Amino acid sequence: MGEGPVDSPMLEAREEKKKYFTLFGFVFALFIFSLFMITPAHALSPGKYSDYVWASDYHPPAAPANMNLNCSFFLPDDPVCADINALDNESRDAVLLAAIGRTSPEEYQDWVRYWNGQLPIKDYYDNLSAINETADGAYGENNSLRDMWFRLIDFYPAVYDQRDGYYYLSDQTLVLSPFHVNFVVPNSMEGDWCAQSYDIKGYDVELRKSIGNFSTTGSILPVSQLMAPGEKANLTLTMSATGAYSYNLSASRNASCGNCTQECVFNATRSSADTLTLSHEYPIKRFPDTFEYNNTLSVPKTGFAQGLVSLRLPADFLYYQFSVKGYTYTVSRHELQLQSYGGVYPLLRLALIPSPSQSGTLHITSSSQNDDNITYWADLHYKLPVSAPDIGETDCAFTLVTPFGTKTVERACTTARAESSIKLEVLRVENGIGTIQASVHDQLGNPLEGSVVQFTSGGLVLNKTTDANGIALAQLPQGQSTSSVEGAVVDSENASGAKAIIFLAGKSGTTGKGASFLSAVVGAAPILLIVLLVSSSMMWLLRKRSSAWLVLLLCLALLPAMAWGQDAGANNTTQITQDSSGGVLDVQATLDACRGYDFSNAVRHFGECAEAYQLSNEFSSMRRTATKLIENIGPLVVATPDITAYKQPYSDMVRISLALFRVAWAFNSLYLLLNIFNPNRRNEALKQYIWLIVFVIFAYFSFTLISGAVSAVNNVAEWVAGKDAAASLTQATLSAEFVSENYEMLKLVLPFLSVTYLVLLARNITVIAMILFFPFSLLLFFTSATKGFGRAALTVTFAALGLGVVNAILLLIYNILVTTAADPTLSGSFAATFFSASFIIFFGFVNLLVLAVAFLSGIVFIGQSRGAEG
Amino acid sequence: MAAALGGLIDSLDMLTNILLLIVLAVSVAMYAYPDPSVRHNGLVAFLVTLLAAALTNIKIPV
Repeated sequence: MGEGPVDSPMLEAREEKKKYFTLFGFVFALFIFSLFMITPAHALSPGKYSDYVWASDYHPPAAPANMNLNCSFFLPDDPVCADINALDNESRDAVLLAAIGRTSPEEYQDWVRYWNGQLPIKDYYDNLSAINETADGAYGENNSLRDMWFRLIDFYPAVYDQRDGYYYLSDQTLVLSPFHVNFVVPNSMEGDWCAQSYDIKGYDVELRKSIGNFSTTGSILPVSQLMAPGEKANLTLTMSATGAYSYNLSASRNASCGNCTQECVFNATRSSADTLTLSHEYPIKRFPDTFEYNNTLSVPKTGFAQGLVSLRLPADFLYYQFSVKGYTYTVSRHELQLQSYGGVYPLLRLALIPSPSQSGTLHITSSSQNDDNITYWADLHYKLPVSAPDIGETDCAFTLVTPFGTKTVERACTTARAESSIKLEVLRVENGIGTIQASVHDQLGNPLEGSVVQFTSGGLVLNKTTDANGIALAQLPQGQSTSSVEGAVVDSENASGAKAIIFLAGKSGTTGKGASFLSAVVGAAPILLIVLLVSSSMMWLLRKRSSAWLVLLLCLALLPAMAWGQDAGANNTTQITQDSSGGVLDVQATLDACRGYDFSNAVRHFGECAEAYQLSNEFSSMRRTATKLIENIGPLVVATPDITAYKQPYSDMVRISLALFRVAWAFNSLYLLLNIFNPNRRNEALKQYIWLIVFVIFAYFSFTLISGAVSAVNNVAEWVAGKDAAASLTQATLSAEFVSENYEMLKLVLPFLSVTYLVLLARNITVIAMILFFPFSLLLFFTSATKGFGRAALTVTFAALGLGVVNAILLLIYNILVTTAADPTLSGSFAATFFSASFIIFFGFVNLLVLAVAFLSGIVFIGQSRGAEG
Repeated sequence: MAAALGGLIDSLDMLTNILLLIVLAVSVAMYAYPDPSVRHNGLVAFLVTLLAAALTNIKIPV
């Protein structure tokens, strides 16, 4: 069945609907498109970020009216403000600054911060350079970054030091530093654009504070962690800003559609990124927090109390005050002053103004004050003007005021019962009268006035009273010989501290020029004796027997001369002792005291005791005192003499000896070698040659062993006992002053140990010589080919042994002289010469002699060999 | 004085070393000698002299 024709009205309706939809879609698209097209060139779309200003709307901040200091801010409801405000500008500020002074540094600091913090410093940059003041910030502009600045208007707490322009800061400091920047975006880009659109990215800004490597954007500076007390540095403020925006620009062009004439299409993007950095430096220094205070009073039973205040404070304190029993003393160095500065906004700061003064009701007897611009030291001696024996800790107080605060110490002293000490000094000796000065002080070093000092010398007793300086003088007649003078403070509670002894020289001289010459001659005799002994030995070895006997007789003749010289010195001493009027009795008290001393007193009075022992010939007592010293400072007492002077000569002689030895060996070698061409002596010459080489090497390196042993012993001795007496005793914590005062006497004591060491050393070397040379020498001697060498080596060995014995004898003589001689001063130098001679002989000449003997023995050998050939 | 002594010692050492060099040279020359015993002795002398010269030239600390 066929269908009829399509229902055309429905089709038509569908077609109509399609048309409408198409038209509607076209119009809608056109509408959307037209939104872009019809955007006018000067009609801008809003940016993505706020806080920006269009260039057309931007106006630089205008300078506000100048502000003045506000009296009612500091003194609210105070009628004085009316009078102050009535003054002219200049006077008003000066009067107001004086009127608003505070009572404490903390209040000053707080009010400065209050005032500076409330100032409306926000937009306008007050350029202080323009009004001839020091700039406190920086200003700059760059394209979109406009009116950019920062300022540092306050440190809290701080004080401005006018002397160097630095700000003193405390351990933690708050920095008030407002900053400002405007981000200005241009309204449009120049050019023929049909459309512009913006992408305002915005801006960033930060203000950074730096000291050295430390940097922060915060407001607190940890000054105590960054700077040492008193250290100077620069605080750098750096403000950094960046601003960015971009434009999309569209230009007109011919449209692609047939009915359109122009279309506006995107053409370009222009971006702008602006940066700006400003910085400024501020000189700062850290206020030291040093605080040491000590106030000690010595209070006698009756009389005036005396005290000593010792201080260590920051050099730039404002003032300090100490009080004792209501009496005060104040030392002032600086004061704080409010200063106003700035242009439009009046800023305040505290300035440090020098204001030195000292005053008080406490009687200062002496004062010592010093500073190095960072620390202040002071020692103040004072005396209470009335008798006040009952003083306690609660009667004292101390207050220190600095630009940053106040420190108070209650119970600010320690008291102790006064103890006197006395020191004697011989001021002058003329016309047979000696003037003795006694200085009496308490334990703080304060002179004690009115103390009675009893001077005792032999049977003479004088009482003198000390003056205001603690000085008492007495005049005593000189004796024929040195006599002791004792000074004692009468009624002193401290018996050992309030006594002292001093020696007053006698009228007769100790040693005249003649005695000096005599001792020099006698001192030189041992060296001459030793040289003659050695010469005699060498002559004996060279078979010049008659010459050797002659030299030996010369030595024997010297002995009586030396004994006579020693007796003359001893007689001199005896005469002095016997002629002194009761010389032995004059030192009896000293001797009694010295015999009873414990170690600390033995050390303190060793010089006086030793001189007393010397005068009374009591060497056993001197040895006991010395033993007491030695027992206590035992291993540290030097056991070796100072051989520094001998080291170079010894070294030179050894080196020459070795060189000569090698030359002799080389000559011998050549001679023997040439004998090898002789067919009769060929084999024997070679044997002798080889034995010679072995002997040389053995002797050469055995010397190394000997010198090594000597060095080892020296090193051990130095390690135990130190290099010299002064260094060793200083190590034992005795004062250098004691050592220098008593060194001459100590030198007599110390060698008691050194003899033992040297005998040990001599024995060491003798044993080494025995071990190395003697067996080898015997071997060479009993080998027919080397009989001559054997004899030479044996000679060397016995020579070394002989010289070791000579050295030991010299040391024993030295020991006897030191321990038993009547006059230790004279025999000390005499004995020391023996000691010195033994040392030179053993370590210097012995080597030269031994090796010279070896050289001569070599020559003897050559002579024997040539004789055998003949 | 120290410099003069040092110079003397250096001169003595130089003299010794020169003599030892002569000894070594002679002992080397011995090796060219036709007699075998001379050659043998010369070799021994050369070796021991060389050893001794080396050892005794070592500076001894004094």
